Amino acid sequence: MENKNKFFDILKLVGVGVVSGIINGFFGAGGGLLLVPLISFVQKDNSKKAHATTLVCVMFMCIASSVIYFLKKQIDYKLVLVCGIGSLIGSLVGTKLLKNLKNNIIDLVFSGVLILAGVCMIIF
Amino acid sequence: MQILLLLAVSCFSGIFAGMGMGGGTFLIPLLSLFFGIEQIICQSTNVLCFVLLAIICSVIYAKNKLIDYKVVLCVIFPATAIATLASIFAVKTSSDVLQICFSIFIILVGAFYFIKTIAAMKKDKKLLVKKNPN
Repeated sequence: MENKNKFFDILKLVGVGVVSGIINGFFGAGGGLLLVPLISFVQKDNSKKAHATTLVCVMFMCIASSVIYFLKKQIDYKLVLVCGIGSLIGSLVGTKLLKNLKNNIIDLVFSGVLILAGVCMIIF
Repeated sequence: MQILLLLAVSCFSGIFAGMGMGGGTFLIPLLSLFFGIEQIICQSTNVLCFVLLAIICSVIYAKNKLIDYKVVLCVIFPATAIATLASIFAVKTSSDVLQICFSIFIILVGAFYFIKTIAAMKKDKKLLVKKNPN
């Protein structure tokens, strides 16, 4: 019985990998947004471990996508350098801000900006 | 001037990444909307920026024993194989189509988070009322 459950858990995780692979591979983003809740759901563990595990999984997907973009010459290296520095500074600020802001406020800002950005991208 | 703006925009998306939310889901629309950069280039920029950050974070997480390697092993093989195929497909897809699909995707994610947050806030309020009925 326990073996059967383990088998189904592995099967679920493989399914989770397939879904996040489609999204992250096609859009170059979004894999983590799906993986954190899905891994938390399958493992019944919504902790820092789910976030850390997701980060490693998405890293592998991004490395694979990077190889494809490199082979197809779809990389602007100057842009990567500038945005890489900006993202690094921003993520350090974000990590500190996380301790001082309420989760619900972050989530509301996050959802609002996403919807607004999506609508603007369709219109403009 | 443009470099300073790019730094500001990527810094803004990095703030969300640092909070554990999809930093890339912000960087791509910001690059596309404010700088008119082609969707596929925005995607490759985001992916490469993420790899750089993820390598640093992974080392820290590994040291703190926060990585569940069994889950990683189950997820990465199908995820990486499918992501490779999906990236090949993305490179062959026109930027306009990619942009519209991506827009719909982020609107759906935004709506999901909005509904989830409102539900959580309502639940918190109910708990507060139960604890302090007056």
